[in-house]
Amino acid sequence: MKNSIFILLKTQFLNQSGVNTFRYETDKKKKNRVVIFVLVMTMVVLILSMYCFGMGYGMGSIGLAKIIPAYAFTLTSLLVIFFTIFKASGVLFAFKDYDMLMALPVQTTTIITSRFLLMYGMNVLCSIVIMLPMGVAYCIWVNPHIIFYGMWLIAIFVTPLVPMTIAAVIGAIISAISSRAKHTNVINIILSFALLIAFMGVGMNAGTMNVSQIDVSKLAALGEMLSEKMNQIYPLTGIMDKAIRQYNISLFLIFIFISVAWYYVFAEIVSIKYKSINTGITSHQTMSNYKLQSLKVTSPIKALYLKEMKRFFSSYIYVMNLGVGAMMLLVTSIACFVLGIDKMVQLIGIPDARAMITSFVPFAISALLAMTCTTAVSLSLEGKNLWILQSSPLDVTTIYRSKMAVNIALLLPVSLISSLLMSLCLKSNVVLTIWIFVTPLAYVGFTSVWGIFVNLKIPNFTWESEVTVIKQSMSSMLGILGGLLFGIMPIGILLLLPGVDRNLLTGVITLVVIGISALLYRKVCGVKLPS
Amino acid sequence: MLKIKNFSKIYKGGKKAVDNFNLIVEPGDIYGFIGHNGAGKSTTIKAIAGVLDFEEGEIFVNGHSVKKSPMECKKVIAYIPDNPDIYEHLTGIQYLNFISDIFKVEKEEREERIKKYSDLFEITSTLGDLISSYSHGMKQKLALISALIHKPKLLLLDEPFVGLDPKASLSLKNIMHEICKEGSAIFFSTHVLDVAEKLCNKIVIIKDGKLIEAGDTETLIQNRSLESLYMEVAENEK
Repeated sequence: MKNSIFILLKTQFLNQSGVNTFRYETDKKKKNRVVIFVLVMTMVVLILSMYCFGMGYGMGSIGLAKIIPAYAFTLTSLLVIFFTIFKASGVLFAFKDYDMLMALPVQTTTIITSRFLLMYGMNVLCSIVIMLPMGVAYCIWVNPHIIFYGMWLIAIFVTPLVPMTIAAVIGAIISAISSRAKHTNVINIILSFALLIAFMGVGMNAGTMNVSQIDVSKLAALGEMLSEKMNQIYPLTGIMDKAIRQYNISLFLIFIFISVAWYYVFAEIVSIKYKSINTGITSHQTMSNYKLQSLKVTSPIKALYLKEMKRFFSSYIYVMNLGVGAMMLLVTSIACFVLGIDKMVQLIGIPDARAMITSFVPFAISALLAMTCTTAVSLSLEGKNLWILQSSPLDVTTIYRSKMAVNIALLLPVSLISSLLMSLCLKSNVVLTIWIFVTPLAYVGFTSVWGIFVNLKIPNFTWESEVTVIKQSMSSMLGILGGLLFGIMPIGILLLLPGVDRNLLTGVITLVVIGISALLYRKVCGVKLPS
Repeated sequence: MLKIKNFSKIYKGGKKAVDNFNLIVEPGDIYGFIGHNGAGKSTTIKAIAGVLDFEEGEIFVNGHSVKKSPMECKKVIAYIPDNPDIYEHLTGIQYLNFISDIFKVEKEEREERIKKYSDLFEITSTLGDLISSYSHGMKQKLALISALIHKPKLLLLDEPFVGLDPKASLSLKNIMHEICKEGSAIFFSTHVLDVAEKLCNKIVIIKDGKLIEAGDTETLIQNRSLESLYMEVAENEK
């Protein structure tokens, strides 16, 4: 069984990573794409590690060194849950090679384990990025016993197990419920978004520390309060924290046992219902009772637009990954409107947050909107269907416009509703209200063009699973993070230029964004469809 | 209808997939395109369809250059690849309507043709289902219907009989004869030599990217079968 797991894991790794492309691909462009992706990922890992080290070191410098292990552990666990929860059902269930794998003479638990280990590999990387540098910071301040080093190293590899399993359980429940429904995908998307909203609620609730009540001079009390809070959010933190800081090996073994046993029970239970869940998800209900009716005639661009819209909503991971920014914005602005800005400030837990929110709100809305960059992958997602567009009598501009139109149509209502709610909630003056509406709209246009621009530069039509394009491609990363970065950058500019009138600066930046969008649009429209 | 002049396609790495290929397809022709796997059939068909760029030579469709006026050419072409991947998230009827919109087919015409061909291929009742639930053969039938909706003047088919049941194969052959009688031309690749021999009035054989034989089926075959001609030609060229 162990051997089968290794074979399956190795094959999945070779199939999904760029290793084989790097070793055997003769096309230099494709090879370079892998190299660039690895370089960018390495840079991201290094920057995040430095950030985590800085965070740990900063805690130590204000006398909170003892909470570093619990903090690192909780942060890793929460991030692992967050990143796995929406991925788990796609990795564990209804994957492309399901039929082929299930026909092999291997046990169901072996298949589940091999799929699980693939996710585990990615999550261990996340664990290393957070826990290793924070552990180093802890060692600098506390100079712990040699036992700590061994325990911490093991903890780095064990920590992702429980949160991953929790995420997988939730993913399995969502998949099991939706597999019974007629519109599997719709139910899946609704349940996942409900979960995301719940997750945001828990996150906000976790931040409800009344900072004004804390005497900062009594840092020990603050440390206790933070530890208690983390234990509340994630109960395993208490066991792990005690084991590590008190060098309690038996407690540490209990922690490892819970982590491994939890996974084992999960794999055993899922393996019983595995086939029925997969059958439910992969089989479609066919009516076969269609009678020809009158057909609606539309223009080519509208036909492309409708096709593109259906493509977006037909894919669970497309909606969950690229729609998340708009969804988060909508939920936050509704929460702001319903709860009121004072309650929101209290939930965030940062003193004087009201002034900050008021100053940066046009760009905060814009940043979240810009994360919903569906165009960044829309060309690549044509994949093997590309021949249809290539052989059709269509001007490339029409194709690009239809894809941009979908991005705009998704963001426009969210932008307007959020702007309205935020301006009402903040009771903003006329000028600020104008920017709250206009700046996000400029970003809606920008992100739609930016996505196509990026996707034309680095397309990928030869994918086997859409996960490769949506979650792992460079264009997806540049689309989502690039959009977010373009939204956050102006906040930095506003902070760097405190003397300049904020409304004036916001107006200038908005005009620059509109200008860049127009420039990119002109550039994009002259580019041929890649072959 | 179709004129291929000194066409060559060189892939990255310098390999010539098609080398100095010349051919003329007249209106009313059913032209069979025969060759081994990897001989250059799909490359040639894709270049005619405007899906693939090419460096040397020229291809004219209905008098228009594929390189210079691709839109004019595409308006009169219908192309079906060997393994037609179609939008699986659409229903059959949504896909057919989508293609009709792209080719700007009038409402009455599209409704009439969809009815005619979907009845002929016996997939009318499944047109309301998602394409992802279709079998390979049903997808092939749907792709064929979508190719016929705009009444193309040149039909480019790459292995059109693969996956079709015997009845659908017969229907396709009848349709091919019918549209050629109306003045259109068909250029299709196939490995089924019996079909090519009976169906095509002209045959072209390609090997390693080079045209070996081309012309009237009867003149080329004479007293032999197409299979023996093909084997003979392939052996001689070794």
